[in-house]
Amino acid sequence: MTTARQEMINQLKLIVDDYTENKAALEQINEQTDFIKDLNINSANLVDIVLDVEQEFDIEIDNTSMERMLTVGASIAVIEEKLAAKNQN
Amino acid sequence: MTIGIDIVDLLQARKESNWQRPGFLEKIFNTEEQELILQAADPEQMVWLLWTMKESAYKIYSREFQWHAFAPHQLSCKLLSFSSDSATGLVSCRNENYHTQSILSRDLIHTIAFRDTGTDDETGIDDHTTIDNGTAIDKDIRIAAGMAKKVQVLILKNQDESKSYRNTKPATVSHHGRYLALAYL
Repeated sequence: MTTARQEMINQLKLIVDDYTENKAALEQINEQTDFIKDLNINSANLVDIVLDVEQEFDIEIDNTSMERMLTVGASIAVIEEKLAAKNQN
Repeated sequence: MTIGIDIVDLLQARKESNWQRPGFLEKIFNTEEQELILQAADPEQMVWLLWTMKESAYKIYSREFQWHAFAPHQLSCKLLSFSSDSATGLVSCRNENYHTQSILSRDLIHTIAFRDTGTDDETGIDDHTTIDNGTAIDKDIRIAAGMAKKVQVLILKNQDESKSYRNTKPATVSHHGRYLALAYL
């Protein structure tokens, strides 16, 4: 795994920390981690995660991209796409 | 009959979410739904009513089509009736339509969604062609009420007392905050 990716997982971990009680599972966070199934995050808080990610990475996440953001890996893929698009402009 | 249920403990929701956070409503609700919220006497209640409608319908859809996504915008809600203690509505999700029946109180909101098959209810629900729109809506409300009668919903408050609930073989369950909702067909 690239250090950039590991760094992104760490940033996500900090964001997600506010919305999970399951700190043991949070310590094991990896690209396969499912926000709802593994971290017991309330589905309404997925909105907060998406909004926090937008702020943290200064990107805009459209509804279609948001649909995929159920896992850490999928969220990182979305962040990478949006960052790449931003840097092209 | 296919059902999905969703319960929101309003006290818990207040702790977990700030629906007034900038961007929050836009991520979940379409323009008409946002209008319903902003014009409601109790906007917070409307937020969670529409949320439980989407969640309960999503639970049916995701099970049937093996579709897992965080896609609140793929589900759109229409309210057919709304009073201080109940509401009926329609939710559409990618060409599938669901009837919803909700109960409202100061402490909680509970919604049951039913799949609109048009076959498993003797009242028949295919007849949406009625020219008089008011009549069609009345019919939808009656259908939702009729379907809701066939479902027994038990809402338990004390988690300790409800630990053995799985032995009672509920068709589906929903848990939030202080409440556990069990539905039996």
